[in-house]
Amino acid sequence: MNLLRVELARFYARVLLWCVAVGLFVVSGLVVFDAWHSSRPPSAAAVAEAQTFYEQQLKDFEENGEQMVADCKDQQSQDPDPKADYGCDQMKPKLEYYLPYTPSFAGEGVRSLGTISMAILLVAGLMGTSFVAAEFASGAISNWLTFAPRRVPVLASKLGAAFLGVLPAVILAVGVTAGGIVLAYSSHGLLDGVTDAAWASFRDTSLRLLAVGPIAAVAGAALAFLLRHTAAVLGVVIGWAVVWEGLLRSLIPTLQPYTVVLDVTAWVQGGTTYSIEDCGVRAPDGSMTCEYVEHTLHMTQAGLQLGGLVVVLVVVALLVFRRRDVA
Amino acid sequence: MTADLAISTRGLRKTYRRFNLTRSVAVEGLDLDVPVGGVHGFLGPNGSGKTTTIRMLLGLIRADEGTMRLFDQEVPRALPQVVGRVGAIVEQPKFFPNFSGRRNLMLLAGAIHADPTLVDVVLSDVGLADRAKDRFRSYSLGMKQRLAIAATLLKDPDLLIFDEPTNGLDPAGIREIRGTMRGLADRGKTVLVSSHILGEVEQVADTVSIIARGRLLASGRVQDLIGASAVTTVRVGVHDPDAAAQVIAARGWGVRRDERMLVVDGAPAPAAITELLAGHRLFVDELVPVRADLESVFLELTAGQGPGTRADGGEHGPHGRRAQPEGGAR
Repeated sequence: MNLLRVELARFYARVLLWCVAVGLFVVSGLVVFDAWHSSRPPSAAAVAEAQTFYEQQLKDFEENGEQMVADCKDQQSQDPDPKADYGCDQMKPKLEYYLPYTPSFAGEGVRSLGTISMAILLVAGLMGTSFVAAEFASGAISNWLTFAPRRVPVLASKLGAAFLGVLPAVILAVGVTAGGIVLAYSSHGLLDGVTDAAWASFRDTSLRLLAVGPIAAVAGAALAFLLRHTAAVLGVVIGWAVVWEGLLRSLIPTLQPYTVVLDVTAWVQGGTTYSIEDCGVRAPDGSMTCEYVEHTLHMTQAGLQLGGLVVVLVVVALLVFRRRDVA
Repeated sequence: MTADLAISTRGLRKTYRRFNLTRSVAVEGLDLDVPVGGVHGFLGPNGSGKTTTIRMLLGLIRADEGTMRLFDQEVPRALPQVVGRVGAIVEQPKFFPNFSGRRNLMLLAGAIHADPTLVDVVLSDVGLADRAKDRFRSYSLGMKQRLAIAATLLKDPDLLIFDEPTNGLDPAGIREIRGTMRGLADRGKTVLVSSHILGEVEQVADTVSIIARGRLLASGRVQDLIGASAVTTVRVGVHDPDAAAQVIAARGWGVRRDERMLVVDGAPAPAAITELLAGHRLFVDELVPVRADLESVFLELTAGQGPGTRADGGEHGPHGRRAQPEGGAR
């Protein structure tokens, strides 16, 4: 505990970490601004324009509607898929079709909270990486080990400090973002009728976001133990992002549930979906057709995969640091 | 292994892997004994394995073979128990560059449960109280060394290890560090100072160990090692130096003119020179034994054993030469 206390003191003494934390708050502010901006009710001019257009379309439908519906049903009947629904019965214009879309708190509100997850992931990861790598890069680790020679407690205290150290910044960032989104939707009168389920979803997303920061910081710190330089860690992360998250994910779509980006998204949003193209001979004429099949990535699977990755990093860092010569 | 040794190593070996996958031997079967108390010079050419040995003693790098003991406790296994008695500066002082000297020491003090007020005390001791709040990276090299010494003093250690402590220091800084080391030894501490600058060690060390290519070549008290040196040089004043030079040369000793004096090497003792010359009716009017210094001993022992990777033990064999004077280092 003593080492952890000292490491936390060092963590909070680092100016760079405060700068990075400020960057996270800026991102929080941008997310809130976007939520406020996108949830604004349509202006009077937009409503008037929509009304005019609606009336034109309604008039056209009254004149030609029967024929339009008949044509629609005819095309639907020719579709080889017997379940095809062209929406022929909903062709009569309605005013809301022409009004600007108004987002809902349960949908866009909760989702916009999740958009800060990548910022938290990167910032907390950078905090953990920089915290440990600076000690290796400056050589201060060798001095430190002459005072605290037990390597396992040294590693544990640094990882622990990274875990706990980022918490205040992450809590504040999530709090600012969540509170800001609620205020934004509230200021536009969009919270009326929000269900308990929607509030629960918003709360759970916030809590899961809080977990992302400390875990990312530990992963960053573990990588720093392995690579010893912030630049090296950034290089590996960028390489991973390009090769695994980008290239291989495109070439082998079945890898999607094993990418960090999708796992974090699924974790924060309580599950997500991804599509994989499935091609095969299904048409009666024997031609090959392709269709995108939607799959679900459950939150639990994503959480276990992310947790497993961090555990592996920590274990490898421990094994390497225990045996490695410190110059 | 006895309790009167601060440091003891036996058969210590360390190799490094090179990029071409061959192995470079840094330390080869080193047997090192550092007695408790006094200043012990750890001498060797650059690349001879001094820093590697110190790093192994401190648990920073792993030995391939051999045993190490600090105050009769086997390290690195017992390092957590004994590290509180050891303060060390390995090569250049390494602290967090953006933290003040005081903050750096506060962190180290926290790691060993030292009283935080001790930080200001040791900073004053090394004359850094006025610059304590400045960033470490703004310090001069001398100030960095002093901060490192202050860090070691936080533990009030029984053994202080200084690895090339005067590298890059100006003469005043060197003198200051030398005084600090001597002062610590006079307070009953054991000081191990590694260096390749012989003059500086000779002035302050009580005992020395000389290594080259990772092996011990000699160890013992400074004066005993100098006395054991094969080099005996005597300046001889005689009224007929040319004739005297012929006589001495005929005896097989080295001789050269230095203005009106002769410089004689290789005589078994100064008295042998007077006896020889008197036998030829050449009477000596001045006879000055030239004192061998540590540098000449060092150069004699390490001749041709500069930085290298082979560890063949040289001409002194694997265990080197040990002066064993009464009460000296074993």
